[in-house]
Amino acid sequence: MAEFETVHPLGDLDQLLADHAHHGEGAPGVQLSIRTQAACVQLFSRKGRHEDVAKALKLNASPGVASASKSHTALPLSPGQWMVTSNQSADRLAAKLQAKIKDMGYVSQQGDARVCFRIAGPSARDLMARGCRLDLDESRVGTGFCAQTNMAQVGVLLHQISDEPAYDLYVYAGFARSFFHWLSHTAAQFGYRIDKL
Amino acid sequence: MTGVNRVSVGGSRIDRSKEVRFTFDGQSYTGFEGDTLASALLANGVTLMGRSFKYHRPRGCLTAGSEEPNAIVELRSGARREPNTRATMAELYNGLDAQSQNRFPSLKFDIQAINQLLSPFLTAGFYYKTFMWPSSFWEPVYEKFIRKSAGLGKAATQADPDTYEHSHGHCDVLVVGAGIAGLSAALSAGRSGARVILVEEQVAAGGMTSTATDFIDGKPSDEWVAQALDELAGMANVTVRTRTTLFGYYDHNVLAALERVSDHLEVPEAHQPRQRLWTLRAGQVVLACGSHERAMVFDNNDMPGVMLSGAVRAFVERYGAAPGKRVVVCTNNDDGYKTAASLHKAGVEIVAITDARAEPSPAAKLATAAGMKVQCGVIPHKAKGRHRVSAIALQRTDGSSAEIIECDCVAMSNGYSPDVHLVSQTGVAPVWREDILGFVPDTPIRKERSAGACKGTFELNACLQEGHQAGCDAAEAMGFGSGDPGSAGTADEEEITAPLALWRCPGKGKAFVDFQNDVTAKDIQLAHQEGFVSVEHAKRYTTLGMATDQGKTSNVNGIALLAEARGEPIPDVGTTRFRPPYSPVAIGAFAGHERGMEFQPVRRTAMHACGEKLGAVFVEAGQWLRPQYYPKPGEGVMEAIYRESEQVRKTAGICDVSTLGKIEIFGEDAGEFLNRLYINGWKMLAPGKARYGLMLREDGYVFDDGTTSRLADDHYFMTTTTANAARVLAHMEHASQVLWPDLDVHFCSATEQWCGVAVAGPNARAILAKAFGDAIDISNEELPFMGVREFKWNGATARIFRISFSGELAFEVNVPWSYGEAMWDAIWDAGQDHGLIAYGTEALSVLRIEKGHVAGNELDGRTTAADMGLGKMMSSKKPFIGQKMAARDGMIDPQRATLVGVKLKSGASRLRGGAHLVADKNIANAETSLGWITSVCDSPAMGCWIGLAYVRGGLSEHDGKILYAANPIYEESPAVEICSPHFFDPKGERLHG
Repeated sequence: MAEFETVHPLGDLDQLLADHAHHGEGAPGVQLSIRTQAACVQLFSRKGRHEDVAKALKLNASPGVASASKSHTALPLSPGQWMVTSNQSADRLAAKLQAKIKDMGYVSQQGDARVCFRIAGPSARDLMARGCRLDLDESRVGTGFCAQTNMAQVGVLLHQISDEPAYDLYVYAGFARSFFHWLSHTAAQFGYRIDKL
Repeated sequence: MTGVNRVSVGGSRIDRSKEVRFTFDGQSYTGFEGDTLASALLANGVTLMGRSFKYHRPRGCLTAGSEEPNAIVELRSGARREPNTRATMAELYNGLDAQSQNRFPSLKFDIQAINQLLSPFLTAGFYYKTFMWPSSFWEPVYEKFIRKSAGLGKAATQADPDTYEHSHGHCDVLVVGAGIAGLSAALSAGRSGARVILVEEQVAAGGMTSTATDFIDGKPSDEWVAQALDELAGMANVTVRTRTTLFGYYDHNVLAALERVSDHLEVPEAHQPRQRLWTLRAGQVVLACGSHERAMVFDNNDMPGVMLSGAVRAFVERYGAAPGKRVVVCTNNDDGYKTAASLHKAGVEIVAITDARAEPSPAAKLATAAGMKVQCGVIPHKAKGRHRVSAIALQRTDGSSAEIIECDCVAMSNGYSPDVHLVSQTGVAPVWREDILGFVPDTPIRKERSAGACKGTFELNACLQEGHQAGCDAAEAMGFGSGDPGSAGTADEEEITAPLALWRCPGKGKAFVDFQNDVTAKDIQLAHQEGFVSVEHAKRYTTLGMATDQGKTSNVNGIALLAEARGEPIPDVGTTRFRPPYSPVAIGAFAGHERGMEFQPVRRTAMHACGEKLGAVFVEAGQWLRPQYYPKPGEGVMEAIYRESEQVRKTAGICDVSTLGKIEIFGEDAGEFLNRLYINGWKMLAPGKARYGLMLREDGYVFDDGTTSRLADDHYFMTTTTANAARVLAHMEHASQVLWPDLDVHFCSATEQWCGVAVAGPNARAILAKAFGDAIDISNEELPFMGVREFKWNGATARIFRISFSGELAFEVNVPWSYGEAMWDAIWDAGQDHGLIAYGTEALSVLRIEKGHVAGNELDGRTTAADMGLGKMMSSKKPFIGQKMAARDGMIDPQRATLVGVKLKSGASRLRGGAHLVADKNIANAETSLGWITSVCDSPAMGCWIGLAYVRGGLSEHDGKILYAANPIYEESPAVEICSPHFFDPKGERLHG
């Protein structure tokens, strides 16, 4: 058996970071980060238990607004469904959530299915406008805003994590390289730096 | 000083301290930074800039903007060569290389100018009349001739080295046009607090206002404009985008604009696109896009040096470039006098001003007082000259002739047509206003309003007020009524006197209406005579209003002449309906990033690198890339496929099957839900077991198939075909949300959470046992056929399914994405002592054809379950989607084509998919076709080419018979034997091994 190691959908991240270390002169307009510790668990409430699940986990039940706690963030996907993200391990997160909601719902691990890109920096909103059809102006949305949308022909789960602004973009793993190709090409006009979190 | 015609006054857009060198038709010139190609050429005394489309007449620029019909040139060279750009819009940069078009051998001497002699035959409808007979000439002769004659310029043949991108913008108020009205609207809306985007096609704001004559708030208009821009720049809620053309106005206030990010540079700066296509979503729109001056229609009005009056003014004021040294201004309205004032201020000699109106207007009196020679009741008759106007023959409006004046420039103004293109795109039909001789927007349909010249308002004060009010109203409509919009500027101006209608100055020569398409006044009369009386028909017949300028300077003249011919008032003729784009947009801008690598996103599996390492050749399966086959050195495609499929049955093979759609299904009613989705029963499926399922569309045809496993009482795991993964999920969402919202069922895609391999062949169990060791017992007893188990492997949850697509002893193993390469490597290493090979989608297909398993080729959306031989799977004990529709007469017709196998007997070296099966190979046509071959392969197991096919009457009628696989493309009709589709191991003994 070969030596065991898991592989990121973007491949060798250290090599990737070296290849894209810094684009553009002066202070970068965009800070790109690849979140390697972003466990994702999809959470479903059973029929009629939507509010119970929301209460048990102290989740925001209304659409388009994330609920954040110390240990995790829940992004509403549809009535009774959330994508819960956390820096802890996916197994632990899933177990913890299932324990809290008991028989009121189900959890399904999605951490391996998604890659999370974080976009920050002074040109973050301009970069988003190159691909995102949604109105992300500060007069419209702020920290906590989340939506499922499409950027560069790829489905994206979008979460605004700060008013700065900064955004987390969750894309399906299979599309991660294509999406990064578009993202890095488009970000180059603003100048960018890249790291992993 | 660069250029013989450069004047020291004016030139607001140029930097006289920065000289720029450029070439036109190989000749070097010098201009200033800020010049356009047209202004720099004019400054250098060059007026001949192109040849007309049909008659190859010499042409100079008519306008100073995007509506230019004449000065159409090729810019740049090599891969960046761009034909049909307007010299009036091309901003000068050092090294700019421009070529004239549509001439041979040179611009000054163009052989095809002989067309002018043939002009009596080249009238409207020439092509339609001439190239009709004989019809056998259409393609081989006429098309070639027309293609050679038609079209302007040459596109680059190399790939465009520049990039283009898309962007999205949102605002409360979108203001289109940064002229006086547009600036005024942006100011009031911005001050009210609304989020404003102001787009301006030109590089600078200010529109048609004249720095020589227009004063706002007591200062020259350009100072007011600069102040307005400063104020707008200081507002965080306002964005101003110049070099940005709003070209499309679509439903729901979605608009499209093209930003020319780098067109003014030799090459784009690093990482910058050449152009950016904006999709703008606006709460309210203020259209302040101005108006287009009309040409006077007189003989030889297309001669270089004969230009629109506003353009002459623009060249002088913006670029300090005088189009001539001795100018005659011919006008029918007051705007001509603004040009005269501007020229006068710049020190250019104004030989005469002719005004079609009999009485001098206040503007005329001012000009006279300034010492200019004004002739009222006089209009042009004919321009004289060869490559440039040298004199203008005048005539009186009473028909008598007047003097001939020597000049090198005629500045003509036949009034202004409000720019109603964008509002027309919203569906608003423009209405005629006789007082201004122009069409103006009718009541808005969308959330938009017009202001300024595009609404027929030409007085400066009124433009300021109207723009201000439009900005206030738009902001208020978006909830910003309480903000302080400030007040509108005030202009000092004389009263404007109405223009005089002058649609054709009497004459017998060529008087052009549409310069770009060489449409003369006579052509319009001819079109009418020949029955093209509708404005839309006349447009198509004469080509009036087509091409890059979209008739901006010509439409109203043409409509008026058609009205005259019809003997009806202009409003009864109406306008054509304008459609996007407002001005040309490069295909590259529409494509944006979506070309080359980014044409479509590529989806890679977790084990892509494993395939690469083994030398896989990849194939696109939708957006996925899948290993198609793994050639050994020196091995051809067919040999590789043959070897792989043979080896799987001999020892074992591993195949990346990660692309199959995977869906996790939870809920108390999940079993019931599956029961309703699939045609077969699911309630009795025990946890730990998998089952093959087939689902129909609502219309009863087969939709998709795959295996679904029960992992727990209320947890199932479905697989779909690669192609239908997203469609099946959407189908389930519809069923769950709309059809049966009462069911407790929840699901999500897990396609990328899990990656998977199939390990098939007699040695599969031994290999997996070695790879996974104690982690899982996969003996036949513990994991029988169609059994499913979850287990932990290196800390991750893994799933193993005892299912087989190949007909061999086979397993599919799923692990989380990040474990994919590790799993592949573990199995690969374990398999090296057991003859394990990697196989791709081609061998996978061979193996399933040998087993008679249907796949994408057979699930083509036209087949029923019974057609595939799976009719007995349809449960009669429960309802399911598609059940009723599948029972329609046509769906259960015994004569339907059903699945059979075919074996190649003779007549060709191979079988081909798509061939039609016929009884008599000499009579192969649609009527004699009995069916068609769907999938073929060179089968190692059968030792010959075999295939699957649908044949009317199926096996019951044709078993053992010989039919012919007619393929007219390859001109072959090999003999095939019809047989059972289950070629190999029909009893399924191997997969139970």
